[in-house]
Amino acid sequence: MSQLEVDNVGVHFGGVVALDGLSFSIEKGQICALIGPNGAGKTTLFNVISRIYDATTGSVTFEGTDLLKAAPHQIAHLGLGRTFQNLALVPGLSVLDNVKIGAHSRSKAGFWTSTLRMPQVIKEERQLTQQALDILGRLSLADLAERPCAGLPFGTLKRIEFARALASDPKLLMLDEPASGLTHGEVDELGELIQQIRDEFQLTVLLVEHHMAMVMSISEKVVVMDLGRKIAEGVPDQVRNDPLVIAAYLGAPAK
Amino acid sequence: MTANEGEETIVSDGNTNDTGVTPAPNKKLPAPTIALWVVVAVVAVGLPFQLAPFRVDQMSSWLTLAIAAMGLNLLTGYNGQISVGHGALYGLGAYTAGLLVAKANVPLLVAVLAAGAVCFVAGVVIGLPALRIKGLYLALVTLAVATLFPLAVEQFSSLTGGNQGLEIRTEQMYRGSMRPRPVKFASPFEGLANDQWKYLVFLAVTAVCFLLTRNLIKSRIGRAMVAIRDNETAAAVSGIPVARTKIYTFGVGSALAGIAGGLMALNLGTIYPSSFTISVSIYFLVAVVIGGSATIAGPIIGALIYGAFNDVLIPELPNQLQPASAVILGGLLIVQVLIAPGGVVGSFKLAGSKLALRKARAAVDNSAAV
Repeated sequence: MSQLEVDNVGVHFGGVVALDGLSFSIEKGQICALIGPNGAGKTTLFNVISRIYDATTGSVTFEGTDLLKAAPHQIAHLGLGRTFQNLALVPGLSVLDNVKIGAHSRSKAGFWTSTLRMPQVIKEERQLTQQALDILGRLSLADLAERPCAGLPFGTLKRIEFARALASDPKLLMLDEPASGLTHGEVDELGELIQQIRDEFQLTVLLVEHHMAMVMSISEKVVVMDLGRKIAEGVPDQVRNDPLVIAAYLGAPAK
Repeated sequence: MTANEGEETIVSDGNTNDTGVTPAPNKKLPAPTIALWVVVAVVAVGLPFQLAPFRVDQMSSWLTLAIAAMGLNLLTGYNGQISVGHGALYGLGAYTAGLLVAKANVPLLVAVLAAGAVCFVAGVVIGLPALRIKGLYLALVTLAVATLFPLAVEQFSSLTGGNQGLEIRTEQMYRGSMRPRPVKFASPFEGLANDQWKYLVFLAVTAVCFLLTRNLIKSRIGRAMVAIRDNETAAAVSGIPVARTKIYTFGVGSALAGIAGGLMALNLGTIYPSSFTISVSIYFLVAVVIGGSATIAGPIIGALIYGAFNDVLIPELPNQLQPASAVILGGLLIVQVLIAPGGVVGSFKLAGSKLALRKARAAVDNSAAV
C-alpha cells in the first residue's frame, strides 16, 4: 500500500470546481512533485490534506488512516508537516520560537504542568530548544535564532517555515513553492537540500513548485494538474514530453 | 522590572561549528537582572513600613488591579481574544469571595481561591461562544457581559444585597465576645499592622500569580497562544489544538480576574454593583496598554502607574481640574499610544534592540575599517 493515497478528491466552492476527481498516490521515501499552471488546484489539495478545506468527494488515506476524519490539529500528530505558499509564520515570535512551534505536535507539557514549571517541562523545553537549534543550523539559520521573524527577507522566511515543518519530525513533508523568492544559485542549493534531508530524515516529500529545472532534477514522480484534474503522471522524462502537459503550459498549437 | 523580560531568552552566540550544530545556550541569569529583582523585592516589601496606612490600602488595591490586568493580558495580549468584559469576571470573583466569607465563614484565602475557580469555570463558559466570534464582535459580546453584570447583581438582591451593597462581616473577638465585625486581615505578628499584613498577603498572591503566568507564557502553551493570535491556520497545521487552547486561556485569564476580584472585595469590606461597571473593564485594558500588551511584566507596571496616577497624582491637582481627571487620563493615553504604542515594557525592549543593532553595525564597520 502506498503511504499517501489521494482517491477521487473533489472540492467545490459553490459552483466553482477547484478539484475534480483527483487521484494519485505516493510511495514512502519518494520525492513527488505536483505541478500545473496557476489555478490548477495544487494548493487546494494541500489544504484538503491539512484539513483547512473540506473535500466534497473522495478520500485521502495516510498510512491507512483516513485523514478527512481527523481534526486539523491532528494532522501534524499523524506525521504530516507542511509549508505555505504565502507563509504562515508567527511574526510576534523569534525565529527559534517559530521552529519550536513546529515541534508542538511531538511535545507534551500541558497547561497545568507548564504553569507550575515542573521538572519534566524544563527538560522538554531544553530538548526542544536544542533540536530547534540543530535544525536551524542544518538550514544555515542559526545566527537568526533570536531575531523576530518580522522584517526578514522572503526567501529566509521560506527557509524558516521549512525548518518549522521539519521540527515536527514529519513522515511526509509537504512543501508549497519552496523555491519562490530564491535566486538561481539558491534554488540549486535548495534542491540538493531537499534530497539530503529526505535521505537523512527518511521522509517522503510532496512538492508544489513552478521551478521546472528543480522539479525535474529532484523528483522521482511528477503529477501534472490542470483545472482541478490530473492530466499526466509519471517520471520526469515521461511527463516532460506529454502533449497534454505541453498544451496546458504553452497552449494548444494553432491549427 | 523590565530587564527580566530577557532573563531567559537565549542569546545566539553564533557559535556554529563545522557540523552545523549550535551548542545549547547558557541559561544563567545575568547579574543585573538578579540585582534588579532584589531591588524590586526590597522596595515592594519595605514600602508599607514607610507610608501612611491609607497609602498602604491604596497600594493593596493597585495589586488587585495588577492581577486582573495580568489575566486580561494573557487573554487579549497573548491570545488575541479581545475582552472588554473582564470587569464582570472581577465582579463575579468579588461577590463569590464576599458571599463565601460573609455567609459561610470560609477562610479568606480559601474564599479568594474559590473565586478564582468559579471564574475559571465562568471563563470557560464564555470562551465557548468566543470560539465562533472574533475581534470586534467578541469585544461587543464581552461588552454586553460587562454591562449586564451590575444589573444581574441587583436582580439577585436577596443574595447580593443589591444596591445596598454586600457588607462582608466575619465573627471576630471584639471586646471580650464573638461578634460580626467588618472583615479584616488580622496580622499574626506583633508590630505589624493589619493593613501592612494585608498588603504583604496581597503582594505574595500577586507574586505567585506573576510567577505562574510567566511560566505559562514561556512554555509551549504560551507559544501556542501567540501562534493562535497571529495565525490560527498555521497554529492548527503545527498541531496546536486551537479551540482547546483558546478556551483554557479564557479560563485562566478569568481565574486571575476572579482572584483579583476576591482580594478587592476583602480589601473594601463592602461591595456594590456600581463597583463593577464597564469602567472597571476599561481600567484593566488601560493598565495593559500603559505597561505593554503581550509583555510579561507590563500589566503589573501599568497597574501601578495607573493606580498612582489615580490615587496619588489626581488628588494633588487643583480643585477645578479634579472633575477633568478622566479627560487628562484620556489625553495622556492618546499621547502614549502615539509615541510609545508598546507601553513601558515595549518601549524598553525597542530601545534595547535598537542599541543591540547599533552595536552590531558598529562592530561590522570596525571590522571593515581594519
